[in-house]
Amino acid sequence: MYQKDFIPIVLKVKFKSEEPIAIEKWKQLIGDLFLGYAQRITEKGDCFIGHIKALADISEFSYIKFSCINALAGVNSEFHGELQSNCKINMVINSLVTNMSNHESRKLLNQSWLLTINQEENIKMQIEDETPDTLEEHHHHHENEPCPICENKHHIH
Amino acid sequence: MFKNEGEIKKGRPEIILFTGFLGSGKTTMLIKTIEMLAEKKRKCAIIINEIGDVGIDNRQMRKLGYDVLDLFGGCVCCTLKVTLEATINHLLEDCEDLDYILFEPSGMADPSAMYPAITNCGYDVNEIHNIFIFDPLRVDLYVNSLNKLFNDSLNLAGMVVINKIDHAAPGMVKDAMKMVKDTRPGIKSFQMNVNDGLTPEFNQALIRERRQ
Repeated sequence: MYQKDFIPIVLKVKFKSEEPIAIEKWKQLIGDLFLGYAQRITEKGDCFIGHIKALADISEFSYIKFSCINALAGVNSEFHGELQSNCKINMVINSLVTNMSNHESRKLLNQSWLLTINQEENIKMQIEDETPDTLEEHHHHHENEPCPICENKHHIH
Repeated sequence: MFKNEGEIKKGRPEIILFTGFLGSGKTTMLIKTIEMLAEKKRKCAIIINEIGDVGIDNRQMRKLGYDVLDLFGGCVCCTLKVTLEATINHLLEDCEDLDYILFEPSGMADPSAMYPAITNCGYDVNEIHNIFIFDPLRVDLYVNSLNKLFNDSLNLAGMVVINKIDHAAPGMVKDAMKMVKDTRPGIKSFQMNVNDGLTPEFNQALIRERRQ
């Protein structure tokens, strides 16, 4: 295994509740979801977690950040901003895992949600747009080799 | 038009590089370093390279009120080398009174591959302050699978921070320390939980290293 084996996957997730929920509860709920997701990845056996991180938007300057490198090590979560209650939360998950497709990541996240949420709570989770599901590795190349992605026509932003 | 090398060298900002594998704590280290330098009224520019279509760290930094230069679309050690060079040159050209350029590459990056982009901007290799953040929870991974990355990273580093010491078993921290000492005897090393803040010894060493 080397760095190139980790497949970058982005999942955009929306949470919606009928009643406003306190930040501490969102933190706990999403943290449990995150841990369940990491556990399911680990249970697959052929997948290795490089880093799974997520940022839940609370407001312009408030967020909860989640980070996990290993299901056994648990999920590290950190809140920054003003404590408040929210009905909606948008979150971006950035997952770097070996042998894990976008489709499979979505499936495992949905499974984890079903086990995390108490159905009576009326909180919904929706995973947004799916990026193209290729199992291409992240390409690294050396100094004198042509870039396999842009054939040396690098874009300067 | 670029300033000539002499002009740039005279008052150019220091470059601090935060290296380490995925999830080692680089972003937290970067944030704590910014806070420490901001207290000392230092002016910093922040460059972040993340893998993936949507960044997490850059969003976090913006919510904290920092402006960030993103390097997106690939890993800075290969596809974005040219962009890194252009970004540093832009900072040298357009940002006056800058004390530091703080750069956090992706945890998938090979640190040695980033150096040419920095040296092409007029910096010597020994002017790049490279802090290697080592997660002791990953000792086995480094030993079994990422040994070359570990050796390459450590050989380029000026300092090592062994992070998450309260989360790792004491044996893991000890093993991590031994790996560091065996690979780079004498390198400055620090043990801390970066989440709880940087240690005064580390802060002093970072500032001292800048002066040297």
